[in-house]
Amino acid sequence: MKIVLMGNPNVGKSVIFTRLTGVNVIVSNYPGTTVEFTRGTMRFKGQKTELTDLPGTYTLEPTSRAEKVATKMLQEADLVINVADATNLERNLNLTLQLIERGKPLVVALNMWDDAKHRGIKIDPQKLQKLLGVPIIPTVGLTGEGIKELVSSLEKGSSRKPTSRAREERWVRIGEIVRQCQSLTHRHHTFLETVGDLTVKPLTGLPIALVTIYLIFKAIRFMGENLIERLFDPLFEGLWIPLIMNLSSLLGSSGFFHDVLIGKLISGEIDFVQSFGLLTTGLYVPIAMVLPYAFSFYLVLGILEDLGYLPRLAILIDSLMHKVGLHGFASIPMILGIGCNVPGALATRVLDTERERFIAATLMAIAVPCTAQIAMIIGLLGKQPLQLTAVFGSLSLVWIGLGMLLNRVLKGESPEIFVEISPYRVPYWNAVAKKLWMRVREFLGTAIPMVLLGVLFMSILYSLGIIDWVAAVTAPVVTGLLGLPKEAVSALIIGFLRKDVAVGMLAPLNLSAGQLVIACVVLAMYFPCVATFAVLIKELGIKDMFKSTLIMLISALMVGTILNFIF
Amino acid sequence: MFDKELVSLLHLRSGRGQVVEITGGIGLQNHLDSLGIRKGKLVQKIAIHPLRGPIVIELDGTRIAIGRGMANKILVKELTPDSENSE
Repeated sequence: MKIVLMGNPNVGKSVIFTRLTGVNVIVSNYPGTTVEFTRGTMRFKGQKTELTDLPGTYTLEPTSRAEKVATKMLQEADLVINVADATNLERNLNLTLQLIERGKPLVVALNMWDDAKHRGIKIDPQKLQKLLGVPIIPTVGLTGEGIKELVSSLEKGSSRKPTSRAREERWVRIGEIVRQCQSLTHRHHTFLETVGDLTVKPLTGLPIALVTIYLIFKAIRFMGENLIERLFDPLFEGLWIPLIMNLSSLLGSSGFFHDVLIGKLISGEIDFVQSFGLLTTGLYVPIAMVLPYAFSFYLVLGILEDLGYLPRLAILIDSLMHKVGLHGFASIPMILGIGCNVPGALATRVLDTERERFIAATLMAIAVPCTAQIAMIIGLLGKQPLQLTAVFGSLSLVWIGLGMLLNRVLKGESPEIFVEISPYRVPYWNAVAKKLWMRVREFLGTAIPMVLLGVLFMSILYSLGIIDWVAAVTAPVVTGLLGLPKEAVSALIIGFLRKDVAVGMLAPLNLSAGQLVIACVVLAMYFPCVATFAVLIKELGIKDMFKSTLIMLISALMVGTILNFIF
Repeated sequence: MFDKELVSLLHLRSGRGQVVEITGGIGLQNHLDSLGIRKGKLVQKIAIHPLRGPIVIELDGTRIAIGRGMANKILVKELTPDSENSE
């Protein structure tokens, strides 16, 4: 027995999925949040039953990649829960009627019922149920209203004989149904709608966007810095250091185990960035340096996502994105990529053509550093605004320059934007908090083990003398072209695993201002971290990923060399 | 070949119009249809973005962004306040 959730994009399928299965998935207020199906189990007729959350689809005649996934999964389903948006009955019924025509057992959840009421849309569910011949349950996914009724109605979903209608015929039928079941009370635009239009019109939208982006950066930096200064640093300095110092003297202040666990003492003291032990640098980097910024970024991102601001931003920068062969919606993978390149890479699936996905993934992997990396760069260069500007300015120029080049060189054209702009919704704070917790947990779950692994790996390579050997071999490139000391190669090696640790490894090298800029830019560009690399292989295929990697290596070397000439 | 009052969505002046024809293949028609843009629908132009940017319309209470190429292929009849009242 297999049940699937189907519906138009951004109608709240994933919210209902979470309600039914207890499996938490990321939900946001823009179309295309779910790009792949998620499976969970729910109880149905006393049995464990598989429930699948599918990407949004407008029609069963698929026009996009996500829709193809959805229609393919439909064929294997035994029962369909069609989630429809009550605020846009007519368009949603198009899919509902197509599903009815397929003949599979079907139940319709008429979601966003509360929203429809607020907007003066009155729908008669009984009449709709009679006309369509399938159970109709009004629901409010976010609050859980109607979910019980939805579950008990599932048993009533029975199969019908498949029929088929022409498109025109279907719309005529939908028109009749809507006329009979829905009445609209005329009303003026709500405050949110007025704001919605102001933020999407160029004259007002662009200044608002600039101010918003500025405030976002300020807010993230303010929260990040304060969390570090007021919470994590006092914790590590006050509580953790005494414990570790005790352990250090217990282990005799040196030796192999001491070096692996605690690292080297720098003039008799622990230096959380430079000591490089599992219990010092290995914990301090992910928890006290990166987590505060990751937390702040994901909090702000979650609010913007649930409010519905991202699609508007996407439209405002649509013409800029066309210069690099993408359209405005490709900004969403980029923005997610700032959090972590892995979900950013997955989100490139909202793009329809291979060409767009290749450009978007390559540009993101090269020129969009993740929060972990940005946090460490800020930690390293925070007191020098000029160098910070140089690093992020160079990466922005690379993004635009390389994008324009790829757009010119790659065959084919990129399609235009065509997308529904989700209405603003007041974020539901429980949902924002839950999403933040999921992302932070995901971050801690992957970052801490990977950083520990990186630190351990480094100690082993050092003690085996491998680093020295690689440093000698690569010296012509690292020193000759990039102008960095040959010790910097250790950062480049660890950068394959974790970029944040890699940036941290630059700290003890006493680099000049220019060298720091070169090292940070090259580290960001030359190769994605191993987690992103694995996802990109899956998304682009080995052949395209090989090309993409080649572009990364070559452009990193070129940009690094140019910067070396400038500084 | 077309009525004089017909203009493309891109060149719609008054802001309000009714879709009369989509001059494109069945692929484009299906594509537009998925977001509810088809013959007979009333549309309101909300914004037009400079530098060959997209246009934003309202249709059935939702806002939709459309690239200019596509908007150019959607032919609409301009609606003035008078013509709406007489309908």
